[in-house]
Amino acid sequence: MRLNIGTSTLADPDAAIAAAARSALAASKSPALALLFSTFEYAPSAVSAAATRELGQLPWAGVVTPAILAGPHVIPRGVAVGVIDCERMRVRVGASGPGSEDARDAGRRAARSALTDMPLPPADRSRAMLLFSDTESCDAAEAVHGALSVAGAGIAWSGGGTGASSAGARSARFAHGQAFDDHVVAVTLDCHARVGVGIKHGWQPTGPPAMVTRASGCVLERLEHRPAFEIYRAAAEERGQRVGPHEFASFATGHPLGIPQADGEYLIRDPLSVDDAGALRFMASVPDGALVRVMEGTPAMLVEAAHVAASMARADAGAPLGGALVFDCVSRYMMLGDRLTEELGACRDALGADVPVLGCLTFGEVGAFGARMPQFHNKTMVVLALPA
Amino acid sequence: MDSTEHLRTTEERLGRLSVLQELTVTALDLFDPDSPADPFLERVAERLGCLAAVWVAIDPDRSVTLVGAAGLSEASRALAIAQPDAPDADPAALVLSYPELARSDLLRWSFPLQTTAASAKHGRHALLLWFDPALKPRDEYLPAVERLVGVLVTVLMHRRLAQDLRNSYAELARTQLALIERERLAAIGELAATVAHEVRNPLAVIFNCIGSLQKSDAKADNAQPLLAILAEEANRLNQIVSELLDFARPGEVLLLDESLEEIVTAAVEAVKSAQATTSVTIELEIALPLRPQMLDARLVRRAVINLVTNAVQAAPSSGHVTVRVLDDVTRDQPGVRIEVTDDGPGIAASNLARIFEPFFTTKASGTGLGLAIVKHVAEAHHGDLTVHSDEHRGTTFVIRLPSAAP
Repeated sequence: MRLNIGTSTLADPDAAIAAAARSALAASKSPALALLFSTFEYAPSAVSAAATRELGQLPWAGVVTPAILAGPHVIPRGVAVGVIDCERMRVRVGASGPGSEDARDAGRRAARSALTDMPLPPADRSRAMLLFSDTESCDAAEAVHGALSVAGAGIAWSGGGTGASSAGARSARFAHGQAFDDHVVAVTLDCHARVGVGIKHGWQPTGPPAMVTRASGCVLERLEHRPAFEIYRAAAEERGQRVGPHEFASFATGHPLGIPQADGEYLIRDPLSVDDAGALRFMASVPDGALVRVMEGTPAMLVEAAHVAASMARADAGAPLGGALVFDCVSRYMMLGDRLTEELGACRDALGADVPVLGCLTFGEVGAFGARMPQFHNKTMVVLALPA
Repeated sequence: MDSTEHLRTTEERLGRLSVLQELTVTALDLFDPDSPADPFLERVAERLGCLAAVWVAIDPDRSVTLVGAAGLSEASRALAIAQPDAPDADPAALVLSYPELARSDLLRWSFPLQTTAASAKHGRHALLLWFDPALKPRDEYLPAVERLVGVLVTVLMHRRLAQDLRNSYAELARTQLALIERERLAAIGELAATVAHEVRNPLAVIFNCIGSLQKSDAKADNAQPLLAILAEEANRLNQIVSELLDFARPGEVLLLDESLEEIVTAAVEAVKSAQATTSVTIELEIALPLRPQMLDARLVRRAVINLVTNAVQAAPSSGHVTVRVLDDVTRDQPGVRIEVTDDGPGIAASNLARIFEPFFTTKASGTGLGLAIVKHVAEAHHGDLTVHSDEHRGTTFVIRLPSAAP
């Protein structure tokens, strides 16, 4: 297996897609799947039409993203096509929506569609599922739960959420030659060898745990029976920082919430805004009854985490790699800025400089701590290592 | 231990306690018997890092059900679960056929969720957790998980009590309704019987007078038609009184080894004779041989006559009525069914719920007792009467009579 990557920064979507797709296909003998990432500058419908023309009958899927990660490069404006070249791989793409009505059901149906005629592979083969959902319209954590109830744990889960650009441009997910606005897209890969997966965020807890005493979906209303924002304010004051609603966004970028797991890891939830009642809105649901902690991190910790995630993926695959897919949270980019290339470099160091790497910035990530029980994460890096 | 190491272990312990606290709070949702277990098990699997978390129940009859699961694929959930070989079989062994759990190297923790006494009475419940051997949970997890299991034991007990309480309330409500209905019917029956008795005495006098007048010499030409009308109306009154008495005091049911074929055939012939002038076709189909039945021939004949008469009246001019008698294999308890179908206009949905009520009728001249009597007859045989009607397409009444009445 080999991941062949083509990229283009041409302004015209037809020309850009043609250049990227032809470059990736030219290097491929037995293309099994194409993954397409395009930035917000291209109209999703134009991208899907061009990709359908260029890729023909080859199954393909993808997302619109704030930036593409290709090898050592961050592409803030452009398109990328990654063709998985493998004659022994089985692939199926599924899509379902609208996720805004019932995210769990959309996830369930998308996974079911992606598993049509795909019985669980024998022990000497390996299965991976990529899941993409729209964090603007649905609770992506619910979509993951829905997909999990169909596909089961124990496979290599990865993927991520999509969201609007800072300028307000809508995102999209691609499947079946179309650009979907409010759908969950799932891709099943059955491989001849183990697909590795690694996940790490690098955030560390600070301060005492606080119990979620009222939450509704993505809105955390109360912590310890007080408006949730007060906990944040207290955490900031302990660091000598004064945080009001206006300063909240910048403080929250470096201080997400963490939900403890028994093995010492923390599931990260990224706060987006605070309302007048002191309720916090998150990118994904925060479960009622959870004990959460305010987290903190530094760019160095995040870069180190990227190295760990890639190392985990490589070790999990346990064989030479033919490529890797990277899903990295856009909010890490907001914190790292230009140092995102350092993060990519750390990732490539761990995977091997000769391993083709393709990825994108996501609004939340799909992955599993440890035992492949998938969850929806924020501010995290997920690496999927494809065997050679 | 240096301070960094101490901080790390303290953080880990705090994390585990936080997980236990969260899962305990989440488990409280399960006190409601209608609350699904899947979301809780998803949380358990996520927080503990399990490959799968499965809650199974093994009923006293040894059938196995998934109360909830996380981490299982749809294909696994759909797999039939094998019955245990012995009452004390390891419940974990029951789900080893699931593809993702078939690996022999998976680490499994299995926790019974009941006391021995409760298990003997209600069957067994168990929480099964699977871990990937490459990511083996540390032994420090176990005390926390055991405490969680303790919470689940309490939850399960409360779920059962809540379900028992709910069942009791439902049973009580059903009993109250039945009691009210019985009292209502008893009152109606008493009234009907009294009225029928009071009417029957003067009726007897009227019949006597008619008989005398018909025999007398005063046979004026215009008297005979009037006497005939008088006799017809008196017969109609007598029929109404008989129905009232049948409904109010149906008498003792006498179940004997009777031929249903003969009873139904005779009943259909009786209707054909009574409705000789109608253009409605009545077809009788009997799927012989029929299962032997213990029947009260008089009552069943009456019931069939009532249904077929109603059907003939409901069918359009030149319409069709079909009477089918066949073995009933639609239920656990074998028996026979008598189906009477007409091709009339059907029964309005708003009337369907009331047609078995005594005195409810949509006919200008009916007593509204015919179907109530049929229902009585069916129930007297421990069977039932059902109806299926499509407006504009017709109606089918079905009497089901079980072969071995309890």
